[in-house]
Parts: sequence; C-alpha cells; structure tokens
Amino acid sequence: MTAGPLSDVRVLEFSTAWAGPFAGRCLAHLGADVIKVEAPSHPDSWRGTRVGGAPRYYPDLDPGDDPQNRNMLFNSQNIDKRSIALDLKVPGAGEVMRDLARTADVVLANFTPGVLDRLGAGFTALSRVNPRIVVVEMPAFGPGGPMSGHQGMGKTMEPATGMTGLMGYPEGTPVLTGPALMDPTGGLNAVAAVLTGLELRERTGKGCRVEVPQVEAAAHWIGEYVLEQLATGATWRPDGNHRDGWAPHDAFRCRGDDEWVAIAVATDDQWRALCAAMGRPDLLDRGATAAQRLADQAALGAEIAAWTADRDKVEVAERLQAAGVPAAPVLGGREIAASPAMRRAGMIAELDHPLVGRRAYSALGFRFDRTPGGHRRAAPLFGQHNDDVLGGLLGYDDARIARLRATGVIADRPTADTDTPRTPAPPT
Amino acid sequence: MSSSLDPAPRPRPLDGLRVVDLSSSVAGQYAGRLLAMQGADVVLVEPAEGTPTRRTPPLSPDGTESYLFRHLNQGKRTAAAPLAELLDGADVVLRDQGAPLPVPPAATVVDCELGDFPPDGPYAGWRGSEMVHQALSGVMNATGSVDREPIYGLGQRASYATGTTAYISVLAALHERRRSGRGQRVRASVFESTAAMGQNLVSQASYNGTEETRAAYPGFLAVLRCRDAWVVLFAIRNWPSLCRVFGLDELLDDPRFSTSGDRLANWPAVVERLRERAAAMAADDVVAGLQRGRVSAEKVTGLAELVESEQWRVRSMLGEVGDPATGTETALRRLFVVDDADGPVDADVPGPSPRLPVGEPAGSAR
Repeated sequence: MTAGPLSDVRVLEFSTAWAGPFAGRCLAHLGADVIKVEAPSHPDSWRGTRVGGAPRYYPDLDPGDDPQNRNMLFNSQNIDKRSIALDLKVPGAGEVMRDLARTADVVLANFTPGVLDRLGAGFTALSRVNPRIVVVEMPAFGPGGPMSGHQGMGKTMEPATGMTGLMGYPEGTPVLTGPALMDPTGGLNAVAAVLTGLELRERTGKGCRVEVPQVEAAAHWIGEYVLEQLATGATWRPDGNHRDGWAPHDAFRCRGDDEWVAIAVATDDQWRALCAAMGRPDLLDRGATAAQRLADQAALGAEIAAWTADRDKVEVAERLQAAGVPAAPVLGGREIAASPAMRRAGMIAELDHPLVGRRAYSALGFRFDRTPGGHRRAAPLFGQHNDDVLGGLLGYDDARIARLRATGVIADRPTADTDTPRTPAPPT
Repeated sequence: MSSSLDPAPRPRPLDGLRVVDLSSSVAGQYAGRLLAMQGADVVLVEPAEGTPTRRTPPLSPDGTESYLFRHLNQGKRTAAAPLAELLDGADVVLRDQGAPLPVPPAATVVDCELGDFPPDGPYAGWRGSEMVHQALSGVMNATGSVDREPIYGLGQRASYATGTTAYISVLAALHERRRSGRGQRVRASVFESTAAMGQNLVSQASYNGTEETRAAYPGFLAVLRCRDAWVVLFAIRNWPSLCRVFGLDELLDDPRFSTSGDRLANWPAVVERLRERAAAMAADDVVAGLQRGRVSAEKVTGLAELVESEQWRVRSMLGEVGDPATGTETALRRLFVVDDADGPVDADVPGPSPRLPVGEPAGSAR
C-alpha cells in the first residue's frame, strides 16, 4: 500500500480512551509515524484492568491472562502505532522525552489542562529542544470559565455542547448519541488542529501550540441552531425523529425483533413515490404539500408503520431508494461488520495481532487517489516498541536501555489498573 | 476579525491558499468554512438562484434566510470572476461528487470531491440524509430507549464529520504537495466519514460476535432527573465522591460495590439509588459537587441558557463579523486556539456569509 500523505511526520501521542487515540489513529492512517507514550502506572484506560474485565471487550468473551493487551476497545483505536512505556515521573525520563521531542513534529495529548506541562512535555519545555514542535492539546473545555476544570467524558460533553437539549423523545427524557459521538468528534477536530498547526509552521518556520477545547469545537456542529437561537430567541425542540422541513421523518418498525427502517421524506415527489411504493394512492392528497405532511405526520406515520410492520427492513429500504425516497435499514454492529458496502468502501481492515489473532476493525474515511495510506498493523502491545524506539530511533545502546529498564524509566508491563485517578482530587 | 492582542499582521495558518468552493452540500461548504477560518481565500460559487443551503432550515421567521447557510459560509467571498479564471489560480477545489469542472484541474490542484456514498459501492445510487447515514452507521440503533423507536440525533452532524474529514484530507494533500510538487484527487463521503466514527462496532463483532444496542450502556453512566433539570454523569472513577454528593455513604461499605468490577455488575442498583436522591436536588449543585470530587457530570443545557452563560462569555464563543456599514452577523468563533512563540495567532471567522449577487453572478457554474 502506498504511504499516506503524512509519511514524513512523526507524532508523539499522550492520550487515553477514545478521542485522543482516535486522533492518533487518524494521523497513522494518513501515514504518520505515531509513537504512543504510556505511563506504566497510568496505561491507556481502554486497556482495561490487569485481571478480569467485562467479557464483551475480549476475544471470544475471554479476558485471558493478559487482558490489557487483548482489549477490543484499545485495540480498535491504536492501530498502526508504536508503543513505548515511559514513566515521566522517574528521574532520567525527562532526557528520553527531550530526545523523542527532537525527532518529532507533533505532540498530541488529551490530558486535563496543565498535566502535560507538569510532566515537562508542554509546548514551552519542548519548544526549547525543538523550536519546530507542534503541540496539540484537547481538553474538554478551554481555560478561564467556570466549567474549565470540569472532567469531560464523551457522554457528559454532549449535554455540555447543547446537543442533548436538541434531541430526544418529545416528552423531554434526554437521549445520548450511541456509544458517544463527542469522542470521535473531538478526535477529528484534533486532527484538523494538527494539520492546521503544521501548515502554520510552514509559514512561520516555527512550531506552535494548538488547543482544541472539545466541547467548544463541537458547538460548530450545531452552529445553525446557535445562530437561530441568537437571532430569534428560540430554536428546535426535541420531537423524536421529526425534523424541520421533512415529513414523514421517522423510524418504522419492521418484521423481527427490534428491526426498524428509517424513512425521510423531503419533497412532494418523494411523498408521491412513497405512496406508490406502498400501493396507497388514497394517501396522496392527505400529504400533497409539506405543510399537510407536517401537520398530519402522526397519522401518516401510522399508515407507513402498518405497511412496514410485516416487511423486511432491508427490502423496504431498497425498494424506497429505488423509487427515489431516502430510506435506510437501522443497522446493528453485526450487520455492519458483515456489510458488503463497508467492505467495498475499504471501511473494514483485517489485521493480525500476536495475542488476539486476525480480527476485523473499522477503518477511516480519508481517500487519496495518489497517496492512499490506510491501516496496516494491529495495535501494539504495551511497551512493544521500547527497544525499537530507544535503540532504532534514538540510537541508545543496549547498556543504556538496560539502565532505563532497571530504574523504571521504561517498563514492559503496566503496573496499575486503569481506573485510578490520574491527578489527586483538589481540596473541596 | 483580528485580535486586539495582535496589532501587527502575523501569518495565519492558511495564508495564501486559494480555494474555489463549488460544493452545494453541508459537508462541502463546512470544509470551505474551516479553510476560510484559518486564513484561506475561499470563493463560494453558486448557481443564479443561490446554493441549496440558502433554503435549508433552520430559516429566519420570514423564511428568507437560512441560519445553516450563514454558519457554513461565513468568511467566504462571492465569485467576482469567471469560473475558469478562478480555477486557474486555485490551490484547492471543493465540489460535489461527480460534478464536472469546465476545465481539468491543474496538476498542482488538490481536487476534493464530496458525496453521500462512495461512487462505486452498492449504495452509489442511494439518497442520503442525516437519518439515513445514522441508520447505516450503527449509531441510531444504539440511541434511545430499547422499548421505543431508535433516535437519529439532530441536525447535520454526519455532514459536519464529513466536512472535517475533507478539511483534514485537503490539508494532508497540501502537505504532501510540498514534497512531490503534485496535487491529487481526494474524496470524502458521508457514509465513510460516519462509519469511521462508529468506533468498535466491527471489532466487537469480530472479537466475540456481540453488539451494543439501546438495551443497556456498558459503563458507569447515569441520566438523572434533578429537581429543576436533567444531569448526565459518568463515574468511571472516584466512587466515594459519587456516594457523598448524593448522601449515600452507606454504599461505601456495601459489598455489592466494593470494586470497580462489582460496581459495573451492579450498576443498575446504584442508578436506582441516585435517582431517588437526585429528584430533590438542584442540578447545578449536583454537577458542582460531582466535579469537585472529580466525577464527570454535566447538566442538560438548552441553547437559550448556554448562549447567555458565563462559560460562553468568558470563552468568547460568539463574535460579530463584518462591516457595520454593510451589515454584521453573529458568528461562532474559532474552532481552536493557536499560539506560537510570538503570541496568539488569528484562527477566527474572518467575515460574514456572502450575499447572493443581484443578477447573473459572474462565477456561476451550473
């Protein structure tokens, strides 16, 4: 596979869970050499616990003897990276960090604000050894405001952006998006920040620090509602799957257990096509205009639901799409993993991993006709590339690497589970 | 919008970059907006009747203006030269997938095509929409209550993901162009960009054949109705803080909740107790207490409250762009904050959205 467009870029990634590792994985997919730096006492939280763990995260539902290297969550988001386990709190680690920074273009971190600086890996410290370094940090909130110190997680950042107030069932019970949409959103925005920082470096000859407050950046994804709120004093009220400008617009139950088809009618033509597909010319006049369809959406929806109830969701969607009506089966994970469309699009990568074997992973959506890049190697074992990076990249000799190992600067196994606090609680 | 802290003109990240935005989609126009925010000169080329996003909700009360169009196109210029001339000097072209160009792009151009689906897959002929994409991505299946219909979400988030994907791809191709001297075709589809955000759906199926649905979320999540508002909390750590904020210290000694694994296994019982207590508590107090104890929690906040909030004021989330003489617009400001050794770098919205020219627009392509 031809190298990606960033094949001359090296990234040091200090990040945990989903958003930061997703960003690092995107950069690796684009061709960058991404070195993931983990602390032995604070491994990436998505490695899970040293013993046991929820079975659904492991091959064949078995955490096995080495769950922190077998966790499906970690292994999904750290594809194509090298791993070194460096404890920045141990004397002697700072020198290794500075040597790494000399070879790097980008440092990417999703720690709580201030942690990177306290570890000696902030922009000020690193730009002394490498004035061209681009440091991208992705806190949940930017500094200065009352929420700035908040702990942010994908699930809690979504309400903080204002998104949760715009979606859900009509009576107001909040609904959160899937496994958490804010994590990959923050990750994508962080990748955008990395590329932006590299472009600035080309124009100034100097590195820079880019801060991506994930909640603030995500507000752009609902920008039209923010502007509406400001201009009119009101905006969209959650109403299930109903949507301004579209009707009928909903999920309809199909044959089987919890099987649904999504049907989204935007135009009069699509309404006519839907009525024809259902064999219900009698409904045409009831929904002839958008205003009629909006006003009568509940009753029209009941008619559609009666038609879909005994039908297969995929057949309904295909038939409606063939007639020009936007529609889709509501798919689950197993269906997506088996989807010919996913495979054809290059969205599934099959990769060999020394402890979990050959497994399939979601790929990414970057498409280049001349420098395609892509996913090539499974996620690294914890500290798998300690010798490779210290010896091969930094040129340390075996004796020096052995000393670093003996003093605990580097490690080959995590020394803690992952749900321990990263920073001590402040006085309350 | 130049910063008052920055009197001397300083390079912006994309200074000198010339972009022709021929796209008509949310994804394409958002990619253009991101380029404009970082200093690129972005020209929006529209048909005579205006680009379709000008007519896409949410609309102003009199129906004449789209807040979506405004948000997507702030900082762009309207075409003032024939298209062939614009393309002649362009570094980047944004266009709808399959839409022809009047002349082939120069070899140095990064030619970015945006569409709903890959042009050669089984969905190539399908019509996309936010709900269609969220249904196919697996996100919708896992959003909402298991005893009710799945919920698609809101707005155009799949398209914003695609616009961001396109922005990244364009900048990566420009980065590579410095080495090779050559541009290339890049492509972004809503289908692929949305699937990429689905996280571990494929790997979970591959590892053990299970999948997440709306039935239960496998984590320390609680959505609680407080006295005055809803609160979402995610208590991956600091269990004692959680218990104390809700006055449930007795749970600290309860053997059902001794370890993290115990708590996960018995989490519904925890949520039940939290619900009872939350009903009598104020949401702001719950969030403040939990955050003091380093437990992630936020109130479900409407935009009316958010745009007036101290957080948004201190963070300067909003600004006015444009010339007061010809009309200003409110804009959401920078996506990220950029500083280098010389101080802050302007990464803000540079101006209002373009007005539709009266009469035949000179740059009209379609």
